[in-house]
Amino acid sequence: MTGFRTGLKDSLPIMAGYVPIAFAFGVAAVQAGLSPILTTMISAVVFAGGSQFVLISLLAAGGSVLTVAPTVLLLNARHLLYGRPILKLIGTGERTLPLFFLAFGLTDEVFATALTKLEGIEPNHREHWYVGLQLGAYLSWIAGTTLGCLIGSEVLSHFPALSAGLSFVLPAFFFSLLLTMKRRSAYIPAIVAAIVTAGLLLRVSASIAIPLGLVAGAIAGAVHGGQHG
Amino acid sequence: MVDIDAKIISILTCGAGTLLLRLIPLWKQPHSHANHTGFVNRLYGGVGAAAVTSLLVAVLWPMIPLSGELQRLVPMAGGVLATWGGQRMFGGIALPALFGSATYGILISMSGF
Repeated sequence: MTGFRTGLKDSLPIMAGYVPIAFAFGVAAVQAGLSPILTTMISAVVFAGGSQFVLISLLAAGGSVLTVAPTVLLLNARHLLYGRPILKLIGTGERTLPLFFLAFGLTDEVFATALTKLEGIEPNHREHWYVGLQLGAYLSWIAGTTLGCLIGSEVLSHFPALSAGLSFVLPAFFFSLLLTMKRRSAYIPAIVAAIVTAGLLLRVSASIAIPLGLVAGAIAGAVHGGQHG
Repeated sequence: MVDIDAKIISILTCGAGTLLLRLIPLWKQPHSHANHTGFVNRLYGGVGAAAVTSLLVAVLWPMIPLSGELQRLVPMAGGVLATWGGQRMFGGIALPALFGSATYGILISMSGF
């Protein structure tokens, strides 16, 4: 259980980012006409930040499952790229849990945090550490959503600066995470991913630009590492 | 009732689909280190930095004014600088992110955008 507790503790930075964003999601969903129960259910069942905002807009517009599901799943398709690197890092230690427990909370932030921290965890603790990390993120997401549904509109109407600050939590979280990656081998993947993603965003949506930028950055890092490593 | 049921079906389908997207790559066991080529290992090594940077660019993108009104960049630049400063002062991830977000919120409300 040591690994699980450490994972839960290491999820605190994600929680600090998730509660405000989920809070904003709860407010947006209620304002779109969804009930607090349905809104909390979305966070509990889907647990995929950006696509949940799209989901509530589509539901509010009366979209059917045939229009809603493909759109949301297309937005989340980048998650297909996340499992293998995580499993590779966890796989060096003992595996005891069903794969469901490794997949249920694999969000962008959990993925990014796990990639930066897993190597520093003792191999036999990695699986439980990772479950603790996911669970902390998951519970904070649901808690933030519930709070946003119940008291969000009232709070934000009194504090407009808070409303603006909430919209910057995600960029600040990713930038802060990037600043913790100080090894030289991270420079080329980061620079190439930034250029490719920005270039693609001029033409295509983020759901396409993110995975392509990610792959381009990783390939550039691998090629550069082969030439200089 | 029919409307609520249709919404629940949509939500459950999206949830099951998203879970599958996360689960499918885990079904096949990764090869051992010995079976990986150096290129594949280096590829995995670069995924973290590339992913975080792509996500960062994508979430910052809607805040960037692509035509004129460059003063709208000030709150964003302030938020980014405050996050960097917070990282230097406090270290870690959460405090710098909250410091950057608070700075952005204050700058937005001061500038009236």
